Formats: sequence, C-alpha cells, structure tokens
Amino acid sequence: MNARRHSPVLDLYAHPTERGEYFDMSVAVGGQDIDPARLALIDISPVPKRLVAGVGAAGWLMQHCGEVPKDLFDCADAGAGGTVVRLHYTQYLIVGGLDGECLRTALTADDSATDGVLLLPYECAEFALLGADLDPLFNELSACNPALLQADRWLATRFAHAEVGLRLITVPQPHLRVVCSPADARFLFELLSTLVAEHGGLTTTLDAYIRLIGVMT
Amino acid sequence: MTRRLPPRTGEWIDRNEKVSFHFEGERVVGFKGDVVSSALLASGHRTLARSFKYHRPRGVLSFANHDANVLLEHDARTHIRGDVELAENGRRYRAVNTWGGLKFDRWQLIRLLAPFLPVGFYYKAFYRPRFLFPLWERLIRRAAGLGRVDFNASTERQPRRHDYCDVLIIGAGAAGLAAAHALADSGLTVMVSDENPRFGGSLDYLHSNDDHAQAFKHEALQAIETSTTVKTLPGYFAAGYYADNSVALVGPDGVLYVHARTVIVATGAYEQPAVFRNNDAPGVMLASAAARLAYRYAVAPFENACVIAGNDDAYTTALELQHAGLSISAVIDIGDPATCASRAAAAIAAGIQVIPNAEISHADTRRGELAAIVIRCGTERAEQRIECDGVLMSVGWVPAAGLLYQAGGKIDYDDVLQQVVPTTLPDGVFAAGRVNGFHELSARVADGRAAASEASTYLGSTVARANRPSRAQHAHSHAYPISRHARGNEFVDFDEDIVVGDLETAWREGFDSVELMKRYSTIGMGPSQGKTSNMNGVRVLARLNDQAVGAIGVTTTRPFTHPIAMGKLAGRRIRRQWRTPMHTFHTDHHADVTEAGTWLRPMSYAAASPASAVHREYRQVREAVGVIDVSTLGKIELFGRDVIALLEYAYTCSFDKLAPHMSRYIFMVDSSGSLVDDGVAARFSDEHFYITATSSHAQTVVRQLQLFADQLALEVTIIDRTFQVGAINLAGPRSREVLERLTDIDVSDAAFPYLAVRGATVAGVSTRLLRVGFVGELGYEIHAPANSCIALWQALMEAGDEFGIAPFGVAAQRLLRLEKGHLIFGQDTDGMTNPFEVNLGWGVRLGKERFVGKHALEVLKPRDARKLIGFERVEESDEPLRECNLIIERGGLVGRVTSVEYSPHRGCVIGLASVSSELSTSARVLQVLLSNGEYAPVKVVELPFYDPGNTRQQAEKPPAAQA
Repeated sequence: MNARRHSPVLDLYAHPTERGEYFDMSVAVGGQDIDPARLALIDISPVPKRLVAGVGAAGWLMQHCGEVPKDLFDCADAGAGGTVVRLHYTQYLIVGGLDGECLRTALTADDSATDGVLLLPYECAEFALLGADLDPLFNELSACNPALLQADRWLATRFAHAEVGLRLITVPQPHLRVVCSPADARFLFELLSTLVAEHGGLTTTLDAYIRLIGVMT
Repeated sequence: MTRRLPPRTGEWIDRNEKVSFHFEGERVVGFKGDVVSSALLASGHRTLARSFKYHRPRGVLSFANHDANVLLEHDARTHIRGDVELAENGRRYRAVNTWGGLKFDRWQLIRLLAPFLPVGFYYKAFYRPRFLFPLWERLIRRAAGLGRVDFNASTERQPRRHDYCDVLIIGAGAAGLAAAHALADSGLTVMVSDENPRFGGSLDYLHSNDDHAQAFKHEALQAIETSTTVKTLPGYFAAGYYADNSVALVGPDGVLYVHARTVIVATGAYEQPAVFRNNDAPGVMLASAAARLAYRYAVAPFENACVIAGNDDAYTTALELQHAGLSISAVIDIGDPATCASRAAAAIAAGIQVIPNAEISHADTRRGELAAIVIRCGTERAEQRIECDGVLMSVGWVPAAGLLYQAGGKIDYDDVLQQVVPTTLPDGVFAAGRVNGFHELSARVADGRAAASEASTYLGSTVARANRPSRAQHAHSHAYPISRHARGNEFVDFDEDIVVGDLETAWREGFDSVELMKRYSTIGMGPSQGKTSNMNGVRVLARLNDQAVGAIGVTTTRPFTHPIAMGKLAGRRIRRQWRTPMHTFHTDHHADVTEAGTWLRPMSYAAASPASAVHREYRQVREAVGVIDVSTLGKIELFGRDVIALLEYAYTCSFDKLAPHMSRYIFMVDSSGSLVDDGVAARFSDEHFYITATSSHAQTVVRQLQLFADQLALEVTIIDRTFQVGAINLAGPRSREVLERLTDIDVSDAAFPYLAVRGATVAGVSTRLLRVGFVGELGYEIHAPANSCIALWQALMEAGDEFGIAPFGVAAQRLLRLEKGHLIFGQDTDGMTNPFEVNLGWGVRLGKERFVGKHALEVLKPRDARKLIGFERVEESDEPLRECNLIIERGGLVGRVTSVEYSPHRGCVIGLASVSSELSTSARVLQVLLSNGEYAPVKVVELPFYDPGNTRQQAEKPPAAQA
C-alpha cells in the first residue's frame, strides 16, 4: 500500500481496524458489519470527487457526464451513488460511485484551466450515517429540518456549526452522506462517533459499508 | 406525614414508594412523585426558606414555577425551586442564603435596619468614604444572593436539539388540550408542551369534581395519545419566543428548539396575591396553590383556612378544597358587595361562612408564621380577627402572556375584565384560554377549539370550524386588591422584598413611569420576573399617578420566562476547531498547539521549553532548512474572462505587468483606505489566478471578491479552496536541495526565480510551488491537495533528513519575519492603518482608473500621520517590552509597540512600532511605557533588521549563515 492520499480521519479509528486503500486513498477497514437496525457511522472519504467550474462547466459536463443539474443544489443521479451537484452558478461537483466506473471519465480528467472550464481536485471528508432513526442525532447537530432532505438534492447546511453538504441516499436503504471540509473532519467525526455511540450505534469502516451497499467487488 | 390527605384518583404521588431526604439537617420522608415543597408541607413544615433582602420566613406562595419563595440548594446544585423539583432520595436540602440555618438565620437582624434600607438605598449610600466601598461590597454580597455556586460540583450538560412541526401548542390545560384534540386527526404535525409533568392544567385541581370536565380531559388525552401526528412534551416549559415561530422549550433532558409553522399559546394565567400587611407569612398562599397541593400531592397545607375572595374563582376553589377534605372556615369577600350574594350562594349552601364587603387589615403571625387574619367588615368596619393557619388568596389573574409579547403581539388592559388581554397577534400566532381572557371552563375549551380551527385554516388545512366565544362581561380580577397598613410590610414583590411603601418612595423621588419604577425599585427583576408582582405594582402606580391602569402600560417581557440552568443553555460541549492536514504530525511531535481563531496551529515543537524551542527552530531556518505548516492561509482560485478587472478593482496594485507563472505581494484596503488583508497573487494565465489571504480573513476576502464581481457584473468564478488545499513552507538556505530531490522540475534560480510559480509533482503529489519568502530565507510554499499533504510533509522530512530538516512553529516564524521587517496584518496594523503608514505605499497605484479605497488613499497619502518604524531596545532590563506598550513623548501618547522579540541576529530586543511620523527618524530615542509603569528607551533603526539586500531569499547557492 502506497497511497499518497489519506483520509483526514484515518488515525481516529482505533484498533482492531486496519488500513486499506480505496480510490488511491488510505482509509480504515476491517470494522464490524453494519446492522441496518442500529445507527452506524462510516468514513467514506475515498469516494472520488472532482470540481468543474467556469462558464464552460455546464457544456463540459454535458459532454462528459451526459446530464447537468439545472438548479442550485440539484443533483443529477448517475447511478451507483454517483451524482453531479450544482454547488454554485458556475461550479459543479462530480461525485463518483462506489463501483469505480460511474463518471470515471469525468473524474479522471486532468487538472486544467482552458476554454472556460476549470478542473480541480475536490478535497473533503465524507461520512455515511445509517440507521433506522437518524432524526434525534440530526436534530441535535443541525437547525435544519431533516424533512427537507431529498434524494435528488444537495442540502448545504451546518452540522455542529460546521458547513456540510448532505445527501439522502435511498438504496439499498435510506441513509445520509455528510460531506465536510478536511479541516472540520476530525472535529465532526469525533462528535458524530460520540453521538452514534450514545444512541447505541457503532463506528465502522468503508469495507463494511460496501458490503452493505453491495456495489464493489 | 402529618398533613397527608387520603389517597385519591389522579394524585401525582406513588404511595408505594417512599422518598427520604434531609432538609436543614432534619430527615423528611415523602412519596415518590413528591416535589420537595409538598413533602415538606406534608411533614408539617411551613417555613421553607428566607426572603432575599430582610430574611423573612417564607413558605409556599404559588406552588408552581411562578414565584421564587422556596429556593433551595444541595451539595451539587443551587437555586432549586422546591415547588417544582422532585424530591430525591438521600439529598440534603437547605434554604439558600441563610447564616446559621433556616430557623435561626442571623441575617434576619437586617430587618432592624430596614428603615435605613429604603428602596434604591444602594444608589445613595456606600460611595463615601471611598475606601470603605470594598468592605460594603463584600458585606452586601455575602448578605444578599440566591445561593452559592459550587465550582467543584460536577457539570451537568444536556443536549440542545431542534424539532419541527406544523402546530406547536404551548400549554396543555383545558384550552391547549381542546386545541390538540381538535387537531389530532387533522394530518398536521402537532407538538404539545406543558411545564407540568402531566397534562391537564387546572382540570386536575380546580375541576376535579366536575364530571364533564373530567370526561373532556379523558377524551382529549386519549385522542392525543392515539394520534400518530401529535407529539407530547410533558415537563417542558416555553422559555422564549424567537423569530419565525421558533420557541425554546426547556425540559428535563435539555433544551428543544421547536420551529413551528404556527403556534397556539395556551399558557394560562398566573394567580395574583392580595397585598396586605404580612401577606408573605408562611401559611398565606394563593388559592390555586392550596388546590394543587391537595389534589396533586394529597397535602393539606393547613388545618383551617380562610379564603380572600376577589372573584368567582375563590368560591369554586373553596368548594373544591372542602371537597378534598380541607377545612375552610370562611370566605372573606373583598369584591363588589352588590354581586357577592350570587357568587357566594353555593359556598353558603356548603356550609362555608361568607363575609361580604370585607377589607383585609393584616395577618398576624406567631414565630414568623401565620396565626390569624384581621379584617374589617360590616357597616362599622370593625376589626375582626379570625384564627387560622392558612389564608388563601384568590383575587385575580394575570395572563401568562410573555410569549405573546415576545412574538410581537399587542396586549392591552381591558377595563371590564380588569386584566390585560391580547388584542393583536402576528400571523400564525394564536392565543387560547385564560391567556386570551377566558376564565370559565366551557369558554376556555371553546377558545382552544377555535384557535385550532384558525391555525389549521392558516396552514391551508381544515378541522371542524369553531368560532371564538365571547369574553365574559365581568371581571375575574379585583381592581385593587391592595390594603395599605400603617405599620407597612404589605409585600408587592416577594422576590425583592418590595412593599407598597417602597413603590411610594420611588414615585415620590420621580420614578413615576412603569419602566423607571421597575429599575429603581427592582420590582419584577427577581427570579420570578414579576409574575406575581408586576400587575399589583402597576395598580399601585396607577393610583399614585391618578391614572387608569390601562394608561400605565406594562414593562417589556423578554426571554426567558423562567430561569434556566446554565448547563441547559450551554448544551453539549461542541467546540468547532479546524485542523490542518498535518495536525497529527504536530501532536505526535509534542507541538504546543494553540487556537488561532478556529484553527489549531503549532506554536513550537517542545511544549516543555517553548522559549528554547523557538530559538532552536529559528536557527534551523536561518542555518539549514525548516518546514512550517501554513495550511491556514486563505487560498482562492479565480477563473474567468474578467479576473484581472476584478483584481484591479479589489486590490491597490496593478496586475498588468505580472507575467504568467509569476506572483506578487498584494493587499486590499476598504473604502476608507484602511488595510484589510494581504497575500500573494499568482498568475497562471490571463484568465486564471490563484491568490492567498490571511488565515483569519479568507472567507471575508472571498465574500468581498464575490460582492465586487456581482456589483461590476464581471465574469469570474471564485472558489474558496482554503480547506481543500494544504500548504507547506519549506524555508532555509538548504531548502532548494531538499526540494530538488522530490520534484521533476528544474528549481534552479534561473529556471525558477524568486516570485515564480510552478505546477510540479513533488513526492508524487501534484502541487503548486510558489517561490516566496516570509521569513527572509530562500523558500518555497508548496500548495497541495489537503488529503495528500501529510504524505508530502513526511516525504519532505525524509528528503531533508540529510540537511537536518526540522519543523518550525508559528512562534519562530513570527521572530523570523520580524527580523525581516514583514508585517502581520491585524498585529502591526489596526482598523485605521493605511498603506502609507506601514511602508506599503509602493504597492498602491493611484494612477489606476479605479479601485476600492482609491479616493481615500489620494487624500491620506500626503497626510503622513503615522509611520511603522523598527526599533532596538537600548538598555537591558528584567521588565520586558510587550506588544501594545505605549510610546510616550512629553507626557503625550505618540504611538504603540506592535511587535517585539529578542533578535538572535541583532543580539538585542527589536520591534516594530506605530508612531507619529515626526518621530520616525532613524536613531531617534523614544520612551516606551512598560507594564510596571517604568520607561524603557528604544532607538529607531532602519528596516529590515536582517538581510536588507534580500540576498538570502534570492540566493542561487546557500549563503554563509548570518545568524
């Protein structure tokens, strides 16, 4: 293993988790399986992402992803968890799927700044929150109404004062994906981990999440 | 348990489980479910606390959360309200603020000084002689107060949460339950809260023997319990009403912020005391308090009581209490004699003596507790003394309308009802029940249903239409339930020991408006927040002013409606801190990590001996090579056709001569010409720039740039990449040798000159390299994707091992930059500093057509008021120079020290100071006022202190160390 990228919360995982590598990022693996009835927190920061910006971004996306979200914070579903989110008027976030193929072309395009299109890496941390009832946890961290969460929308809000992007994933079971900055990652992950434990849940690893979601072999 | 009544259905205590605790050292046994006060009264105690100012004996007044008569503490907490605090097994409760215990409180001697302590005495005393003031302060602080906080007690923090609903119903008495019942099947999400642990309100204790009332309650509760859309919150009081129908509910497990689309306020009313001499004696209480004690806790708080009646409710309550097995010897009617007979009929029929057309003279006390009530009655107005150990006051109500005020409602005094009622409410806010001026049970229920109907209509839903009932045409409150007595002690405000005479004194001294009187006399400023005092205070003031009560007005009601424990407000400890990508390295290497704004930054890498660590790190950079984590820098990507136009407008300098793949120093001023932020601009192409900003202003700069772009309709995409990109400064004469081992590009001076910018792969990571120097040595800022930075940092450490590479912290960086004379914005500048004052005039191009602050700078340039100078300390001394020490010339303030450090290079203390321009000439000696009051001479010197020729940061080969 020789990953050049590390999950910002990698060292917050205690033993007996190990380190694995997904999408060129070192991440904790070997955690417990997820019980859909219990709350679970998983570091899924390796999920590939890319930022496309500039006045030519929409055209570039149409060419490389086939679909462009129309309104601010709309998501264009690309399957396998992949999506394109409109973050700003001329800024789009491409989020890859866990199958490694979804939106691959767009995600692997070289950094560039030509023809009104700026391609940049998008560095963040991403966590998945699963469980039968996330509302108590959500309601302690955010003033945002969880009823506003929609599968095709990116909810830009704050969790425990930290700016986050929330996405509701509906398959195979409804759960939440939380995207935050690497700077906030440790603070937020530690807090989420504490809350999840208080609610009888567990913090586990990406491989357990993949086993549950069932999209990567 | 001498005063416990026989068991009855609906009581709140569990007689199968006992609770044992100590009160003032004496063991008390109650039942599970008892509050402290009910258990104490049941065991025969009457005096439960002492008053705030005169330490008078106090007992139960409202037996609700409406007064602060019974304030207790135990080993872990203070300011416990005995009337609503569940008694805990094993606790040792005591009254707050006593000296020698409740029974023999020595502070009660203060009563002897009462003639010398009139209202507002502290405004007129103690300031002379001045030296005695600290003594008075200590004495008053010790005598006053409402308990002591034990700072060693374990902290109890509870979560703060948010919740959402269509309709929030505050109060689950008759009106609230009626509203909730009506909405239970509407499909709307409903939340119902009540400050009591059980729903029902006065249905529990004022209508216990009314079958219709009990049937209504049962049906409503059942509908609520079976509804899937109604959420119940027993034990939650509404503490404050905030914007957009957000209400803070405080409950047993923390604070809940409910964001509701509509709110029905059914908070009821506070029963008001009559005001007469010794009305604060233990045994004198509100009639509703006695009813609550009897029906909820099966406690008879007296053996024989009289009821002071100022309204119909007094008779209802008297009958309810008699029905519960309590002895009511008489009803003393102080209301309108003309209508007394009609309201008294039922009581007379039940064998209760009714004394019409009476006046209260005073209460007699024995050992501080109630012994008798003395009245005047009959045509002769002869005094009559009635022996009793209970006096129950039922003379009127004040709507619990605090939330309606806070919501923006208008509340006016109704002369018919003799109380305030809401007249105008904001959209989406509805009042129901007693708070809305309805006192009859049937009217409260109807009003609750009508409020539900209006709320559902407001939300576009429909429930069975219900109309508001008509308000009664007679008062439920006595117009002036206040009897003056020649010997005083007629308490208006129980919290603050304010008597009628105090209000008269305040009025005589000119405090004749309700707001002034409140502040001067402190009426309503105690922990009860005027719930049982404000209305009587207003009545007294109205009579003094010879005005109608409605003309007096009321004071502003603000959150919180009841005091809230600090732990509940604080909530869970959530302290957001930003970590850089290298944070783990820093902590693993014993860095002294300090908060810098929200960021955590390493100050130095030896927490045990920071001073020596700073000088070691300093030498490392001056003599070899060091690395510092500068990820906190703001980093902004600018892309688009109009980037240069935006930068030209936002910054003072010009960008037309900045070649691609080069960078320059930039700074921004505001429209007044004051410096705002600085950084570096790197140009990749005509349409693509990358700029940095100071750590604390990154988001501000992004917002400012976006604002300018929008105002000028410029085509620029602005991306804040502060968090996505980490940055490492590799600095020192050997830095190039380290870098060239890891990168694929030519880093020689010719290929990569000073101020150049390159895209490069470093240690396998795609980076941007900026050849800039803040610390005055050859150096490179390496900007890389945040999640790759730790790998890059480790690679640099490995590659630099041969050259003795080591990390350096912010403290060493500050010293290094000070020697180089570089500014830190916000430290060496203030909110008024312009570029000409800090030697940055070279970066202002006034010839540009326009930029923010241009006109101000044109005016400021010739003024030349202040200058940033470098100085050296002339004489050594144990007293250190400090940043912000003032510079004094001929007794006047002429400047201040902005930065100061010991310079290893100069071998003395050096610093920067902002001084009047005329004092900035080289070699001039200035006097710095030290913290100990002495003066230290410093000599103005040329800047920079180190490497004035810039040979080191532009060096092709490692120069000989100068340090």
